Amino acid sequence: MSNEFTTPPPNNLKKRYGLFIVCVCLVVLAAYLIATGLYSSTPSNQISAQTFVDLQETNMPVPGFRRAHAKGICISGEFVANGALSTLSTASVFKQGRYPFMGRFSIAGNNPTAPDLKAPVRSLAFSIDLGAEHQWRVAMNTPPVMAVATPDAFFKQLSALAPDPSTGKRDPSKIQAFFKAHPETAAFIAWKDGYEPTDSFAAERYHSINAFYLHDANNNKRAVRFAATPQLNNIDLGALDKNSDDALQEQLIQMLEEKHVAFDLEFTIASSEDDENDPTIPWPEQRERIIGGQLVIASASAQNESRCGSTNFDPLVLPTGMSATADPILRARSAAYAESYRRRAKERLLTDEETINAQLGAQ
Amino acid sequence: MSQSYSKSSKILHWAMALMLLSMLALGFSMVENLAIWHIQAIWLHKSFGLLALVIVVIRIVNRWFTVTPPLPSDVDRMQAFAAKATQVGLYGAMLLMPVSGYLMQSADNRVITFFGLFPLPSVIAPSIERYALFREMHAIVALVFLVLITVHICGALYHGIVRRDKVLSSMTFSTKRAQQNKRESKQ
Repeated sequence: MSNEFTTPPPNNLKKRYGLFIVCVCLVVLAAYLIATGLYSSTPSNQISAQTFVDLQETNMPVPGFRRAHAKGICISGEFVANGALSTLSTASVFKQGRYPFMGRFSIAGNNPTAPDLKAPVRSLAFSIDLGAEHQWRVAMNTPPVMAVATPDAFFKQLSALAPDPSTGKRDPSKIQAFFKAHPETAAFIAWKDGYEPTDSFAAERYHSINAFYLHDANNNKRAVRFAATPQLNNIDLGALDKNSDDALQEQLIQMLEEKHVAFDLEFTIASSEDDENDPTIPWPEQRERIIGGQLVIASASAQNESRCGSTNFDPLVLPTGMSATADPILRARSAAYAESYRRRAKERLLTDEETINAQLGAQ
Repeated sequence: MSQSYSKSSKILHWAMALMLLSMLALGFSMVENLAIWHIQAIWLHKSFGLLALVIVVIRIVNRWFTVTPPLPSDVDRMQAFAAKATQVGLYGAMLLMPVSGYLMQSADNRVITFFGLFPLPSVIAPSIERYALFREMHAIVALVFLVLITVHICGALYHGIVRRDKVLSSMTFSTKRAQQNKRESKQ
């Protein structure tokens, strides 16, 4: 019977166990390498999504909220597409029509109770869901360009700008050294020096920063950047209570009580001279611009009471007819957003809603 | 009783082994890496995950209809139990991995397509808590799965290297016996 275990001479058995143990070690090593992320970092991508979100969590006061742009307010309304982009893209969202969207205005930082007026960056995110493969998620910021072009350099930028844990203050020499070592930051610095925050979320210009491709019916692709440009039509912004931590949110709610707040969604088409994969360089003013439609915001609500609070506005969720460029910053956003989303989702699952909301204190 | 698994069982076993190890390696890496291939990685992971779900169902059906060679009679009861438990765990993980992946995608309102050919319907309403549940399940099951695979491989190697019984060769496309037969027939 071939199944029988024939006892080999002891010497042979020793050899067999020796070989077996070597094999076991190799198998365990392989499993360990897989579990720890065999390809989690490469020479050109040393920073992982986890390291990135760890940095954003520094001194994080409130679990259950976003690791970046934690403070925000939900909005909803309609995207009124004028059809002008339908020759460049087959995406349903660009066909003439009115499509409901939900979105979020937010400010930079990891504190959901931070004062509105002290944040250096403001953001507008939205999502239009026209069914499977026709969903578009957008996350835009006030700067038109990135300071740097790779995730590793961006990590260095955030590290240089982060306050020293012992003193709680930024180190100007570190910041200076960073910008000196990164000449690609020039356009960003120029924007920053000339930027004056407005008195309203409704008066800012929000940029896609990264470029995307639009695909037409013949599968030609064009690189575009887009921006939401405010359409105030000379209407007064309304009062801004500069002493309130929630000045911008209160002002927005007040505005929406009287009228809608609108933004044109303006697309800039790249020429062959523009590098769509480099988010640090602004494209020249004379590039062709097409307005694809208008975002008309009808209402606003607290982020913990609406869907926007629990939505991951991952800008790589794109409808058929649109795709991502190879811009390394853009491509890194999905994994980083997912890690932040995973952490706060877990906190939401394990903590009851009352405890989470109580952290907002007086809000 | 046959000493060997059927050819269909072997093909399914090795095809899945290759796929699952690739997906585990990719999965653990892509959630950390900020590289530009992240989009394609996710796309491949979702498509192959769906394929794996289809194949595991075929495998379970196939297992009903084909012969499973018994362990050698002299394997002690504890070892036999461990082998059985590992196999049950492996099938459980093979089912739970794609199911939890599908559910976490639905919970985040994301679409899964089968290699871009067609999208799958969303099966649950979006919710951050449900996302957390299935996302963590996906991660924990992946780790348990990897441990079970390691145990499974080490067990097979024990039979193949130390005991030198027919357990390992019952799942390999053993050409050794064929060669031996040839040699014998020549003599």
